[in-house]
Amino acid sequence: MPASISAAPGNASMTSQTDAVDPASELAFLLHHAGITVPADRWDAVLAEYIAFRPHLALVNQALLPEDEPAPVIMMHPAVGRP
Amino acid sequence: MSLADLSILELARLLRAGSVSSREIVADALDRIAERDRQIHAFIRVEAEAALGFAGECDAELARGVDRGPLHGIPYALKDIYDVAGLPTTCHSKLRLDAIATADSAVAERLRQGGAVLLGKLATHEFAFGGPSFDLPFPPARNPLDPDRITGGSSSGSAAAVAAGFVRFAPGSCSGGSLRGPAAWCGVVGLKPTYGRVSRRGVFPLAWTLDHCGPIARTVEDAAVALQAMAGHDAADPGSADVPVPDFTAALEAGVKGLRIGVPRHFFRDHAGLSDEASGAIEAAIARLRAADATVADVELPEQRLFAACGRVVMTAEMFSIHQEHLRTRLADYGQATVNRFVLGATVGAADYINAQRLRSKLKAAVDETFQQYDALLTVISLSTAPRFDTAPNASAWGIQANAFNVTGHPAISVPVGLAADGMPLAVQVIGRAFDEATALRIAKHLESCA
Repeated sequence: MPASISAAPGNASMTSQTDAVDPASELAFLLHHAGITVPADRWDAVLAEYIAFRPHLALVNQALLPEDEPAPVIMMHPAVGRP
Repeated sequence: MSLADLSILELARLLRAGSVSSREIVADALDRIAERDRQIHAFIRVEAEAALGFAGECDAELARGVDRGPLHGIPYALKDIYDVAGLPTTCHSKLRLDAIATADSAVAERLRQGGAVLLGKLATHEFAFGGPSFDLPFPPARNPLDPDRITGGSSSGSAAAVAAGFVRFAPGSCSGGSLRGPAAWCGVVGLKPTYGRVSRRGVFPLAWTLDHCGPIARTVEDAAVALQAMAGHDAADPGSADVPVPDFTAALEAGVKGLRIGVPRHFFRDHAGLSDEASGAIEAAIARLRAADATVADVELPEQRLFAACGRVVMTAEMFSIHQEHLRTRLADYGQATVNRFVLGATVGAADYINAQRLRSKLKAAVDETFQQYDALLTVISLSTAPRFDTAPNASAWGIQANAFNVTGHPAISVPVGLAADGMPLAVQVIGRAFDEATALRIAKHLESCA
């Protein structure tokens, strides 16, 4: 894991859509913030997964316009009992 | 013909005619497990003595005229994320080797009430997610059709146990394709019911809003019979739906004449990983349905990558909420494949998760709208056949196109439709309207009979 963090993004939903942010630094910051320490021998594999995952994060945010109406599927909807 | 070749309903008839006993069926299954599972590794734990004991009780009940239904005396096994009182629910993980369940899961309870005989607990990918891996406390299940190949997952042991002929059905779970994927690669049937159809009480969660319980079975009919026993409302599962449970076998033989079936061809048509044989399999399935007087037409759903992204983000956030404390304190006890993706939950913000769930509403609405004109959908389940262990890519690149219907909650069934040149099975999936598993089963039954 990189020893220093070059970017200090405020939240992943913004940074994940920003190609300018170095994914390794971003991931290191977010894992540190979550209190998770990835051993050095696992870092490359985790980073590779993160790089593959970022487009998914970007897509779910880009696929909706702010004025879009859909409410979220509420987990275990108490009235309906299903999504 | 061996007992393993007989369907659940055929075995049920023999049991009631007194031609065979449950103890004989169970003993036969245990012999096959002892003979072959050293190579397949479908089972984590075999409960031979308990199984033979309960089988004896089942025989005695039938002799007294007590009949618990079609599964009475029929052996089965459970993916090791289902609780069975007194047994560990390991989730195939070092973290839970001593996690002894104090009560049965709803499915184990229902199956016991129906007289099904539990043979043991089955391999899974770690926490129904990370695998196949060799850094876990149990070896990964191998594909019975070619043990050098993977089964797919995460219901790896369930598919392997059914394909090897150890049991006719084995409940698994599915949050993004974990029933249909391994079933397709092992040449058996995988049925993900509608979200809420089967209770998840006592099943270790992966992602609550995506988790479904359902059967992997040898045939479509076996799957229907198994689902019949598993389905039903359970107030103890907040996701459980209080809806009537129809007779899933009633219309199995009704054929497909007059049914309208949509094909979201854009899900797979231009996918770089689509093999010629998988493409040929779905075209052949379409031809078979048309030959039987079904109407089959292309339909447009939202892009497949939107479903994929939605499912990935929701799953990543939810599984992290379950595991974050252990990821902080016991990360080294997880397998590498699990860690690689579990920790990504730390990168999903609240707005990401909510937006994924909002997108999910749109995607579900789009699929529901399509079902106003069509009785079912048909699409590929796997872009290619099962890869070998030594060449298998990361699980996220397996080309299993299943998670769209975990996102929407619609029932979906994968059914084998032939063999590829490498001798491995090819399959397609049929998707039904919410709570209309019966129509999906009916179409799958027709495709199975043509294979």
